[in-house]
Amino acid sequence: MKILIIEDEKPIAKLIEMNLGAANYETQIYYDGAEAAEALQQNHSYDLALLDVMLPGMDGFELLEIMKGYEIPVIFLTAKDDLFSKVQGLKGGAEDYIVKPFEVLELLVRIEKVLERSNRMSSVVRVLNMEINFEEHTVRQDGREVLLKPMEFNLLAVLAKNKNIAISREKLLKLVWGVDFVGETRTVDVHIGQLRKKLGLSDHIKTVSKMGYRLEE
Amino acid sequence: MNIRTRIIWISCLAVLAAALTSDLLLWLLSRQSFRSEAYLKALQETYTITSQIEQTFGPNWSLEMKERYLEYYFKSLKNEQSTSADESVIADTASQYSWFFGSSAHSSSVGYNICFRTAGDPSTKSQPQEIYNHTNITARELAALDYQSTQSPQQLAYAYLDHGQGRYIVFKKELTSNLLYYRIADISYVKAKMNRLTFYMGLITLVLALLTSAALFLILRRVFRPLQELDDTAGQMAQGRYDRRVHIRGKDEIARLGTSFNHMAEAVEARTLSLEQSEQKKTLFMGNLTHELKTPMTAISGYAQTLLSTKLRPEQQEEALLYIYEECTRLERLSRKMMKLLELDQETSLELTPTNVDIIFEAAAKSCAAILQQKQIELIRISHGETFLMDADLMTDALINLVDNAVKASRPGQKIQLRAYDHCIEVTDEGQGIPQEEQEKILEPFYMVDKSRSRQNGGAGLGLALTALIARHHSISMSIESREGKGTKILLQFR
Repeated sequence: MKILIIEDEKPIAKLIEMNLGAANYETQIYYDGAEAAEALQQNHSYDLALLDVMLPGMDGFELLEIMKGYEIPVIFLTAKDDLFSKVQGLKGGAEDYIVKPFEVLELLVRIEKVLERSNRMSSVVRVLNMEINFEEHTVRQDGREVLLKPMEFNLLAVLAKNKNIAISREKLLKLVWGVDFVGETRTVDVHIGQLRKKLGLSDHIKTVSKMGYRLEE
Repeated sequence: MNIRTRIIWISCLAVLAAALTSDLLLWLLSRQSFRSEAYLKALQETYTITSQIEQTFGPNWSLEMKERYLEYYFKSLKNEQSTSADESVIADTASQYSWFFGSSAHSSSVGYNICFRTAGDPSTKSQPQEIYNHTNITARELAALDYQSTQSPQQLAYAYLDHGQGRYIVFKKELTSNLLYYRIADISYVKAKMNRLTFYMGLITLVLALLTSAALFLILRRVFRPLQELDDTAGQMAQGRYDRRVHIRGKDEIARLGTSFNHMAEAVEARTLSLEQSEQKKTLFMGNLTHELKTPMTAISGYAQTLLSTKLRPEQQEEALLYIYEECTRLERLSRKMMKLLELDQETSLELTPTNVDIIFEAAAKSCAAILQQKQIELIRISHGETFLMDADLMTDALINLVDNAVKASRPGQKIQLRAYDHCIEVTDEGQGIPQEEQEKILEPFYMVDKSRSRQNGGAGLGLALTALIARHHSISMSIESREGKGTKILLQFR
């Protein structure tokens, strides 16, 4: 999974790269729009592009047109939060529009959604000694299938897709169960316990204090 | 009721009133003159007749002879004169002619002669005997009239008589002591004439009033058309179309009003425009500020979050911390400059003291020493002890900003020159220069010619804006001379 980052703010670009790298994405950064456009002519095998709007060389809306030519889905990542820019971006064909400041996890989830929509997400994810098949809803550990309850499977899927990144109990509740209750985090703890037991992941599903759970490779 | 209708009404009423007043005067005068004319005419006729009679009367004529003669004379007069009127009924029918047709039959008077013999002594009340009378007016009726003497030499007396529908004037003359002669003249035609006159005057007045109204209507419509246009234009302006103007025709009061209106509209448009512009500038400033704040905030919170939740290698953790530190420094620098801008913006008057430029050159050079050395750029200072009126701290800040910009634009090994002469301070570099189309914009807050590079150099785009503000507070005119690739010269000219 290769993701193109075009962002003139070095700290931001590096931040994104750091997190995407931890979640097993390959990344390529360009700080200049025109430079990126030129480089794309040589190599345009990217699964997704994260674009800033205000860029030196060439602005994000122009780059969007080029990306469409190469059929690379685009997510705008910008400080411009006026409605006009949003409409222009989304109408122009961008898949999503994220306003800075953003949360890392939110960015990852949205990237995932876009990749799923454009069928670039492979249906099988391999983490550690596990092979998670999203189509069949099955988990194989060292080739042997381990039976999981639907919610346990979903929880494992979220952790695996965002591996190495801690996800809070509240976020997990929302992402897996689709509920917003704050007080019901016990459910998450119970399911995490089940996963650890069934898959022998006690060392790999870490409890990060105050941040939640993290599946480490 | 609108003003136009009101003016038309008032003017019509005024015209009518004036016309009616003059009508009345004219009418009264005419009646007076018609009456006296009729009176004189009748008097003359009477006079002619009486003098003829008196001349004919011989001195020795007996009363009887006189009577005979009179009877004969009057009869012959009647035959001569009367053609149409039957004297016996004339008094009743005389004025039945319609005045409307203005028949000329009445323009000349018809006269009747009556003669009585009285019994010499007026105290005896015996009935006077008719000698000649073809009217139905009796002697008693005639005698009962209130006579007034005429001014003529003959002893004539006259009185007015209304009989039937007619009006008459009666002259009385005692031919001899017992012969009494009356002459009755019909003056009904005066009334008829007056009626005709009234009719024509009324007609003329009415037509005049109508014509006046019509003319007024047309004139007022012309006069009020610009007012209507003014109203429309004002309405459009109220809806925000400040570019609307009225057409000016002529040089009258309304045209002047239109001109003033246009002046006002221009002032309003200019003011609105400047307000809009300053509003836009403010919005732009706020937008830029938010953007400048958002980027470091995003980085700081993002790295902090990443450090907390993501499994990172130790060198990655160090990198994240370094970025947090750098972005914090950037925020701090930004806030310091913002504070200065705000402070300066609120400052109404600075305390300016005569300061030797060497002092501020020294201070600026000291502040910039580190970056100058880092980039191996030489700063040349040229001054001859010039002393300008300034706030030394602020001017030093301004110079530091300018030198800082020059350093950023220069390559290692190049030179930057700080020079003072006459009323000027000059900062010259040999750097990359500023493109022509950007030279105006660079004074705006947050504007950066090369955004990514100046970010890397730690700029926020406030330096020149701050310098420009400082210059403005000193009434210094600041000009930029720059050619791409050749370098930039910034000239500060003191007043």
